[in-house]
Amino acid sequence: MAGTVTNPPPQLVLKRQISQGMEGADVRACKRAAARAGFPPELLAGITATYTADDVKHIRDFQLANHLHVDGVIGGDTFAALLPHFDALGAMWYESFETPTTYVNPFRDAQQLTLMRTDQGVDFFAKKGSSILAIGKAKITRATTKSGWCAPDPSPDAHGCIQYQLLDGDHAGEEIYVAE
Amino acid sequence: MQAGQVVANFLRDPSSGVGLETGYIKVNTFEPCGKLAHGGETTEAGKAFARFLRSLGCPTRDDPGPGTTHSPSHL
Repeated sequence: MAGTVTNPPPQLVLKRQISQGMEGADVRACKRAAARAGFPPELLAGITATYTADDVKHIRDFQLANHLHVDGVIGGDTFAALLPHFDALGAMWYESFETPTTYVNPFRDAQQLTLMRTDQGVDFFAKKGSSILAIGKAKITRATTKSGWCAPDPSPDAHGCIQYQLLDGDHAGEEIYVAE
Repeated sequence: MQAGQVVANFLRDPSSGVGLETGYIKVNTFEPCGKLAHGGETTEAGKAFARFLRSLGCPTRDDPGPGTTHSPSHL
C-alpha cells in the first residue's frame, strides 16, 4: 500500500468512534494519518478537525484498499489500520483530544448488541439480561410498567419505560427514555 | 444516578423480536420529541439521539447524517 509509514506505530487507543459531522483533534489526527497513507495525499496540508462527507469518502477508499469493512466510519479496525500512518504530530493531536468524561455509552456492557432502526428514538436488540447504563449523572423522572409515553398510540406489546434527566455536562437538562 | 449505573435490562433475547428503544423525550411530558413516528419514520429527535450515541462510541444502524446531538426541545 502506498503512503508514509511510521515504524514503530505510536501506542494509541481509539478514544471514540468517528462518523460524519463529528469534530475534534482526534478527527484531525485520523485525517492526517489517512492523508499520509495516500487517502488523499493532497489533503495533508490544511487538515481541519471536522469529519465531512469528503472525509467519509476518503476513509471508505482507505478501508477498501485495506480490506476492511467499508462504511466510512473510523472504528477499531480502521483506527488500527491507520495507526502505522500516524506521525509524531498526528499522535500529539490525537493524545490532546479529551473524550467527554461525564458521559458513557449506554450499551457499553450489552452483549450481542444488534442495531435496529432509528425512528423517534434508536432501537436495539441484545442478549437477555444485558444492561443499559445511564449516559451521565442523572435523576429518574418517571418509571412505568406501561409505555405511557407513547400515548395516544399505546402499544399492547409495551412493557415498561424509564425516563431520566441528565444533570451535568453539555446535555444537562435533557431527558432520555428507555422503553421496551 | 451516576454515569454508567444500570437503568434497565433487556428482558428478552433478540429472537423474541422485542428489543429496547431509547431516545429523547420532552421534559416533564410523556411525549417523544418531534413528530410521533407512527410508521417508524425517522424524526429529528431520533437522528439527534443517534448522533449523540455515536459521539459516545455506540454504533447505530442508520446514518443520522450531520447535525446536532441535542434534544430538539432544548434548542
